[in-house]
Amino acid sequence: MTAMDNRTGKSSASPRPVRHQIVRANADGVAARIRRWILVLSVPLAFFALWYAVAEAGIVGRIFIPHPETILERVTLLWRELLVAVWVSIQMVAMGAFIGSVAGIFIGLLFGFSRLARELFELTLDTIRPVPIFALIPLFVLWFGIGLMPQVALVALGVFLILSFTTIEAVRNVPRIFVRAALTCGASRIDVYRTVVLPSIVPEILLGVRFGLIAAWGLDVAAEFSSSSEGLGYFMIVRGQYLDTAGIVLSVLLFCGCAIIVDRALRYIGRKCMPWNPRVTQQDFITELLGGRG
Amino acid sequence: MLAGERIVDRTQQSGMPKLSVDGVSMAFGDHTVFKGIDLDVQAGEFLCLIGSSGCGKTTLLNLIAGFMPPTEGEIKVSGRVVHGPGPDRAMVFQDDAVFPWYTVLQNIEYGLKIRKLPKDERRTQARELTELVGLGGREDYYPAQLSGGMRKRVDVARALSVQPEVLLMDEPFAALDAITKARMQEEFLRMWENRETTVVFVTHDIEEALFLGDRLILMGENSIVRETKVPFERPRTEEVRTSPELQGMRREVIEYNRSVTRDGETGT
Ligand SMILES: Nc1ncnc2c1ncn2[C@@H]1O[C@H](COP(=O)(O)OP(=O)(O)OP(=O)(O)O)[C@@H](O)[C@H]1O
Ligand SMILES: [Mg+2]
Repeated sequence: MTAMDNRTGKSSASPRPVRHQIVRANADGVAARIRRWILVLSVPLAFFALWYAVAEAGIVGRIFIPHPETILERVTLLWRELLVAVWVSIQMVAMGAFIGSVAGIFIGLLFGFSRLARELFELTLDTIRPVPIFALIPLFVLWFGIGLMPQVALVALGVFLILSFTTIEAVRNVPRIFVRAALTCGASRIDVYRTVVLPSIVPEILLGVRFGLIAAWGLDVAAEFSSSSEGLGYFMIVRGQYLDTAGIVLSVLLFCGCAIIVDRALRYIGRKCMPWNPRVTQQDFITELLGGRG
Repeated sequence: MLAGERIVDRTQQSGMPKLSVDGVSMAFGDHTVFKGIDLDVQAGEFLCLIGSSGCGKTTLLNLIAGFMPPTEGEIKVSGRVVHGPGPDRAMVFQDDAVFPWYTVLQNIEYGLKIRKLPKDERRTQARELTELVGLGGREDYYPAQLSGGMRKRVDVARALSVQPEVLLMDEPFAALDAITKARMQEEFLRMWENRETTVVFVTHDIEEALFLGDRLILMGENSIVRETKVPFERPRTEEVRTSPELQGMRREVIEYNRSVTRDGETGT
């Protein structure tokens, strides 16, 4: 009886169920979509407006906070150079992140699979993980010279350390019952990895790759600062030497742009990789309560 | 072989038992679950295991499956000592064990795929099993899109597909409504009668145990307290279920159980 009242909202005694409010806020449709985009864009637009206002008012010196229009000028002036720089950096990051991810996931899986591998390498890896990789830049430059190699190697190492660690932790978290089920169906150790471990660690791996990429952009810039004559990081250093704040801010914005595109792409890939996961498939108020879909 | 011919007493065949549990004890730390369990199951026998919640039924199945070694004693299947899990002892789990990342059909054909059966062959078999457990038309659903009882049926089909020597079933039909349950029991009996698989079946439902099994084992505090032979002929029909004999036996088992356990319930 009470349940009926709740559903029809006629009960005077019980408060309005939460569910209604959330479902309505979540409803699809043009109005809801417009509302969503207004909300999504409002904060970046507010930032921009504030920036523009501060720059217009001239309270702070141009050298500290460049005018947005100056930045636009830089774009029209330097777009060829910028395009090349961005392309170079993307290549570095992509190559380094790819090599590092593949190697890291492989080592993580190997650690899960083989006690011998753990006994041989785990202590070593755990020991080098906290070493600040930035501190290795001089060494890498020494070993690999100026150019692309030290950057790719540095990015790869950073991403590798993150991914190997994430993967082994994810493997340890695989629910026992699925492994049991696979084994009673005749699965070999390799089969268990292929059919149970890999699908169950996808969410954690994606998280690891996203962390890895955050580190990758940072490492790439740091490496370009000291060992490169191309790339966005190098462009930034050069602009800095000219005291061209607009150029620096522009580089930062470009990095942000690259990072957000890559991150959203990874989220998309994640959704495609886990069509079975309720966090992707279910659009209900529980999903809404737990961070939304994706 | 015709089902009707099978009126031999499978609980007392000569020769080596299919499954033998020899003085098996199990303890987790200093908590002893059971002590000195002896149990022989003949080839093709349908053994039902009942006992109050927490008495160690699942633990015993886990030991037979080989997920962990017993603290004492030995378990043999066809004379070979069990050292780990294998497809000769498939299991239908009490908890949700269907792979969430595979569809219904992919789950059901899992064991066949592992055995590297050609694709069309395993698809045919898997489809048959899907129909058998009443999930035809849901082949491409993911487990998260199924009801609890449907998932359990996927698990049953997956275990059946590997055609194990011993099939371990841990309350497989507990989550089903009375009608689906009765249907599943009958379908399952038909299939079992044609396949001669040895079954160890855990349930809290004494009527189900008597309807399905050749023998009924009642587990008490830490050992087997009673063994009951189930005399009904096969193939068993709906009449058996409602027969006064079965209902009488059911009452007797409940009475007995009440007299040996403190709270007098089997956890149902
Ligand atoms: N991994 C474990 N560690 C410690 N104790 C355990 C473990 N697994 C089971 N137990 C204990 O063993 C006992 C038997 O558990 P088991 O799951 O076999 O019971 P059950 O007979 O299957 O009960 P139910 O009918 O409720 O499923 C319980 O007291 C439980 O606490
Ligand atoms: Mg149990």
